[in-house]
Amino acid sequence: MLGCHAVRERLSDEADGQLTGWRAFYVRFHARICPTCKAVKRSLDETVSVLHALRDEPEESEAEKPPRS
Amino acid sequence: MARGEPPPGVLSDADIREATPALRAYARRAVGDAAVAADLVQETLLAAVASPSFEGRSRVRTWLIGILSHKVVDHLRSAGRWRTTDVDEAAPADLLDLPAHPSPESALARRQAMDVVQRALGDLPPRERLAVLLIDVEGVERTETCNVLGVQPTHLRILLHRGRHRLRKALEHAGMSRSP
Repeated sequence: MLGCHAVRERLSDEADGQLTGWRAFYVRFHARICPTCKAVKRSLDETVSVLHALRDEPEESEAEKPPRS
Repeated sequence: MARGEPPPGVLSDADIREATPALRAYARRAVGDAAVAADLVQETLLAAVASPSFEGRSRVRTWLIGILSHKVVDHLRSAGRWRTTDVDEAAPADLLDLPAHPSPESALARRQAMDVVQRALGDLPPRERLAVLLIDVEGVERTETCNVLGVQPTHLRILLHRGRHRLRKALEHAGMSRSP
């Protein structure tokens, strides 16, 4: 059985559909019932969602602009 | 084919105009310098226009991102920023820490989260940064990403895992990630 540490190491693969078989099932199941891993998965999903949104944001953001002198 | 249109598989001016903002954004995020990014995009477009290898089978943006990525890697390598040890370093201890604060759902919060992530992208090691930019932002296939970065699929998996988790930590520290 995979512990929390091993599950969290695989959450990124799970998000990309890279896991198969029992491993995929176990990681999904564990991340649903373990509060800590569930929180990490939610946080990871949010991060990936923000990254996806950057695709349609070609304009230079405030974060990228050089500081005004 | 209408008069004045290029034949299939040949880049048109419209293709280039449409793709250029995205190329500039990608290059800027990858190398962290707007002037260098502009030069790399220019080189990419020149190479693309001269290249016979675009056969129209992939999207123009994806194809151009591929060419640009190789130039980005060449630039980082020549600048001494493309270390071969990135993948072998042990993962930082805080990569698996717990999320911190709740965050409101709103357009403003979303915009702020994007700013946090863009800033944090610049702090990632180059390979992790490119892995995240190519796969998560540009939607490039893992096989092509491995080719660009010169890594095996198992290494790419590690780069992506670490890069995403560093960005996740940045969002959490900024108070922009939901708690359970």
